[in-house]
Amino acid sequence: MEYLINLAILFSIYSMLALSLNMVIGMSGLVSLAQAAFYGIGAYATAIGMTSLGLGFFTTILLGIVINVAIAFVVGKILARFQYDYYAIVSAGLSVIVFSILLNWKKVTNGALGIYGIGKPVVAGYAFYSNSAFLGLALLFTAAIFALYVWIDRSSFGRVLKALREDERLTHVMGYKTKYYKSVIFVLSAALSGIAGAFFASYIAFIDPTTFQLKEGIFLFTIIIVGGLSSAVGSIVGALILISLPEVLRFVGLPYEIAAQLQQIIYGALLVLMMIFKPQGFFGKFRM
Amino acid sequence: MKKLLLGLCVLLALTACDNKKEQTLSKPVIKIGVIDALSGKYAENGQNVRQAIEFAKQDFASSDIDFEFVFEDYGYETKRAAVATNKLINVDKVDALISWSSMAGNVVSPLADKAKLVHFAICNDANVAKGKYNFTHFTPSGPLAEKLVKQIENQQAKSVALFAVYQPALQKHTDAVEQLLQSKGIATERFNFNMDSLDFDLMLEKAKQHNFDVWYICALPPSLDIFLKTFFQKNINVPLVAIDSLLFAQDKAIVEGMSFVTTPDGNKELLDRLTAANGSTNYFSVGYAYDVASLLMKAYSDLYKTTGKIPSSDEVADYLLALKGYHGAVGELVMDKDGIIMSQAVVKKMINGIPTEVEE
Repeated sequence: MEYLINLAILFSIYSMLALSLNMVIGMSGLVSLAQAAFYGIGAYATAIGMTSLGLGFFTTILLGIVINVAIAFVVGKILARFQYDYYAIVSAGLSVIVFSILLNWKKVTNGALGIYGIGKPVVAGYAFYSNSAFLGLALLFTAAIFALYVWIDRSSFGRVLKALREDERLTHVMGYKTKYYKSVIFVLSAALSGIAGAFFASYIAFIDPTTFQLKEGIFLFTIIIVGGLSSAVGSIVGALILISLPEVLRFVGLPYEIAAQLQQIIYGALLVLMMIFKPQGFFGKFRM
Repeated sequence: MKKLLLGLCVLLALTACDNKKEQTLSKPVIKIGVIDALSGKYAENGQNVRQAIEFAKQDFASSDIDFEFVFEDYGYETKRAAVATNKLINVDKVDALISWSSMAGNVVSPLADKAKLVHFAICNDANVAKGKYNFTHFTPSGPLAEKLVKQIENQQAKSVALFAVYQPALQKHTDAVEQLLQSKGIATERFNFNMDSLDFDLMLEKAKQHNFDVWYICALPPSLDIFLKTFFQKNINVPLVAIDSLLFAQDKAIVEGMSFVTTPDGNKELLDRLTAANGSTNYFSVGYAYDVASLLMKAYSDLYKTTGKIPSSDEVADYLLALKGYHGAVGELVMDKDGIIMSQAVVKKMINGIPTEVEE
């Protein structure tokens, strides 16, 4: 049971990330690969805040959000000038820059050695040391982000984002400031990724820059493609599949000499099959 | 779709809650979980670590206890290391843990402490050994740096260029080298680069202009191989010294005849068996893995013989802390008060493509 709780925590963290990414890619059609960067900034804000500055978990969440909003605001302004693959390339660039900073700014981030001993959240004297309590808290935040997603999706703001996704020029001609909409959703998504990063840092208790590389951004991208673009449920389902599938494969009972490699092959093959039979993802409302 | 999801959840729940087969053996069984990088970029090392642990199990003669090793892959990713550890603790119900690499060690260490399980990490990160149940076994950066600096001093060097990749263990080695050199009045300049750096032209040109007496490299493939190729192509006529790195050079011919400071691999018999088993000559960490598995088995076995019952994690931890004069695969092992096994560095030379230990 404890193992399932641990998996559920990870699932919850990746659901937050997938929901925040789907706001940018699914809802707005902006192919962002910068999510790992904001995820990393959130994680480091919590790690540094809790271990070096003596801040509480929730204060570090706020700190991560503030930093992410500030960065996303500046980067979002630049990104708003781009579309499609150009948007992807520029956003991937941000991911590479942040990874390099996490590695090189040794005095603050401890470089490649990472930061260990990150604590658990404490609310009014109650510490979320047990995994089930931590899971409860993570699920609460996931539910809040889910609700926010659904609310935006149904709002007039969300409808403009979807219009922008379908035809940015036409939306602009109709009088909407498309750059403003693109920037706002990018900033919001970055802030939410920071929350997921804070939970990750506190859960694992150790972080190093390798977790927040561009490949993590691609993994998140895969989650929402498999689950379905522009769908809150799809984000959750995608996270569930991509987090639990490798774990299910641990129980297949293959010989140790080949188990790890075979698990990777099976995992890859299953993803290919899913894409063949469900090219739009499981709950996709939009296909790129 | 709903059926698929439901099926996935049920399968996961069943497998996780699945109790292992009832033990019909009369001998008690001690399960040791191993968090190892069996896939990903360090898979070759990880597989060799696994093989060394299997050898240790074969070699350990215990008539009282059966030892079972359960290997879980973490693919050199923190999140997978956490999940693998949780599976070993909560599903496999292991009695002790072994992890490989500083990254895995840092993830496993707090989990082992919480679960009160003895954890032996094959790494040289002192943070990992914090807590009663955590131990590390890998030659620390200190002895490696001392041996390397001695080599540099022998060359009457006054300045050293330090090239190092951003990798936890290798950065620690380089930090130790830099501090020691500076304490001896030898000037240093640090050139750090990322794991996936593939162009060293500018960096080497810049360093060349400073006329350093000695160059030092601490890196891993693929950046290591490109660094070495660029270094030799540029005909940089300066002694190149290294910690570990040359072991991993893909093109062994390019480093033929060069000597470097590194960790001991293990006895020759163990290495020959490893090569015979999987054809690999990459012995990095192998001796340590063999020692760690042997030590854990010895601790359980000795304590069982004395008390007649399966020892608790506290008893095993106390036993390991008192370890003195144990002759392991990498030499004489002494445990310090923090749970860190001290072992010595060695000098090796690349002879016919095989790193061979040589006298200084």
